[in-house]
Amino acid sequence: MPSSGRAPHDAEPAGPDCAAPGAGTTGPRLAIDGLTITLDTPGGRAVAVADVSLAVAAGTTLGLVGESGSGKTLTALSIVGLLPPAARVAAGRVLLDGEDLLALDEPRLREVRGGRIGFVFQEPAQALNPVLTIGYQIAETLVVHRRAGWPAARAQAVEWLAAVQVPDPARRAGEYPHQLSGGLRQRALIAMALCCEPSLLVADEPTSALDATVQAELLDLLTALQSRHGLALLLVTHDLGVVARAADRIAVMYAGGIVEHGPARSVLREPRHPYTRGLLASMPGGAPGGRLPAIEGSVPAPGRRGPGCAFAPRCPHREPRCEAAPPAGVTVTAEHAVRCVLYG
Amino acid sequence: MGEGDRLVLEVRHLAKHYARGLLLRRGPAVRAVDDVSFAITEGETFGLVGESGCGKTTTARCILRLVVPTAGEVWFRGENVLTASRARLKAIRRNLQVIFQDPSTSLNPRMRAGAIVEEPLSIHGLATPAARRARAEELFGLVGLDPARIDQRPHEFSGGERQRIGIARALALSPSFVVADEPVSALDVSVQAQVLNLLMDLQARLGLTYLLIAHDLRLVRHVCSRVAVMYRGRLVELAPAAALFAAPHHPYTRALLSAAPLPDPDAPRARVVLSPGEFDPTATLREVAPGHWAAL
Repeated sequence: MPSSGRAPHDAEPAGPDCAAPGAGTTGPRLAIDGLTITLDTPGGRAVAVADVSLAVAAGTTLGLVGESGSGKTLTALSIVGLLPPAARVAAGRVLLDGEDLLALDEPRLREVRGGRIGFVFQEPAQALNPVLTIGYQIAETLVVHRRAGWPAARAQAVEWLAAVQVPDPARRAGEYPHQLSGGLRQRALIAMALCCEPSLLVADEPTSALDATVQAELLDLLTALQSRHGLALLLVTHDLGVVARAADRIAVMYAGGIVEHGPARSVLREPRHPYTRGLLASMPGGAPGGRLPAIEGSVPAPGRRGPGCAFAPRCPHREPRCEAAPPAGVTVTAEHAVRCVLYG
Repeated sequence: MGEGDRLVLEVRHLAKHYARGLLLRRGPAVRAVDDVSFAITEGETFGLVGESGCGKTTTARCILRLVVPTAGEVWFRGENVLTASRARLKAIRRNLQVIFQDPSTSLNPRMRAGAIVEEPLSIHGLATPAARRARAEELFGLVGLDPARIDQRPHEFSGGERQRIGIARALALSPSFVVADEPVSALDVSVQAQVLNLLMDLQARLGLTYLLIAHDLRLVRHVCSRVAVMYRGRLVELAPAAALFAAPHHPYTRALLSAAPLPDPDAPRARVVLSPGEFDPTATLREVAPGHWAAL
């Protein structure tokens, strides 16, 4: 582990986990440094997230992309200290404006969570309290974190509902979650996440449970709010279409590790890692009817990963050395890095 | 549809309404499916697309007579599915099979994979146990699974492999028509293409006709010959896939196409937003170009 006090983005040379550029002397808003998370499974303790480092600068959006089991959600949950009981952080730091969140006790963490960090999770139906009106739930957040008085908090709740484009916000504030559509519930959750004006928003699959038309609307709204408030946004998703629409930078996770990291355009247009390339190539979109260039095999479960590159068993370019040890990170351009022997 | 194409399935004025409320049945009925008509010809892949709650899955369930429609007719190879006797329905269903969305919930976790695949044969009282087992092994090979794994249980397979088991089961009775309801949307992104390729291969090898229910427009564009777009229980557009994507006529189709998330940083971001009152929700389909219908 790097010693404390060092800016995380200059910790290791040439990793794919290089920090956001232009962070300058102030450092990134969020920096995750060497994060390793273990998970207790029926087969014993397994490494679910292995040595993940990433950074999000103020006013930018990092898309953290991966499929189920990639460790992206555990990474996001560790930021707000909400890991499930079976998971624990084995190593690493999570720095918000330079302060290590993993070192905070629960009362301090509770202040940060919902205050300086807002979060939005996938299923709005489960994240809202069904017996309280949405106006009350937003106001309560302001009372708890901002020490606001109730009348002012209730008025602000309505303003926030208006800001996330909930039609007729004053009436909607008095409604219960079940009275709202999925899209409106997710807007209410975004309002709740933003009302304390956090400096970081963590959004885990914020639109995946919604229909495409609603999803596009909400992504555009999130992006607009993010740039208006200078938020750092960590957008966690399995959908490359979502990050193409909303992210400035993309980090691709596979089986617990970041395999590629760079500017969104560069990762989507010139993907380097065989996994990223395979994923993009396998998506329908070319000439109709033809065979899709599929990635063979399936994602290995935690605990069933070998010592080397986790993608090696499915990789068309694998060499004997791939399965022996994890590949080092390689910088392919100043801002684009990849963990693959092809570029060593 | 060309002149010489053989009709396999025809849906006429299908409707499924649900009463609102549990006891008092007050208020207007929910029109889950409302006056839906389309016809599918031999060997094609017909896509039914729309967002959640639009009625696409209810339509499929009505076709399979898993729910009884409020009105309308479903004809399968010249037979009325909805009025068929139990014996005839059983015979129709040998020929009309379904692949479900989520293989982790649609497969019985207590059964061995081989037993799941051969169960339709035993339900229909076909073949001896030995012949059924041989058929299961053959089906395993057909869908790209190792026949040596026939005695494993569903949890020992990955998500993509479980969907292959679901496909093998659907093909056990050698149907000519398969309804595939979101067959890849529950799978890991990196295995979706494998399963789509398998479905296309099987169609070519076995001459299958598909009704594909999906919300992913890229997928639909890739595999479907014709596409029907459903909105709030009604068909708003029906056209050859190429024509639908190149020149959508209905405002809802245009909104849906513009919202599809593309993994392309240069994709146009302008969304077509559907405004209320932009179209008549009671309009019926009319032909706007040869083979291209829109409810305008």
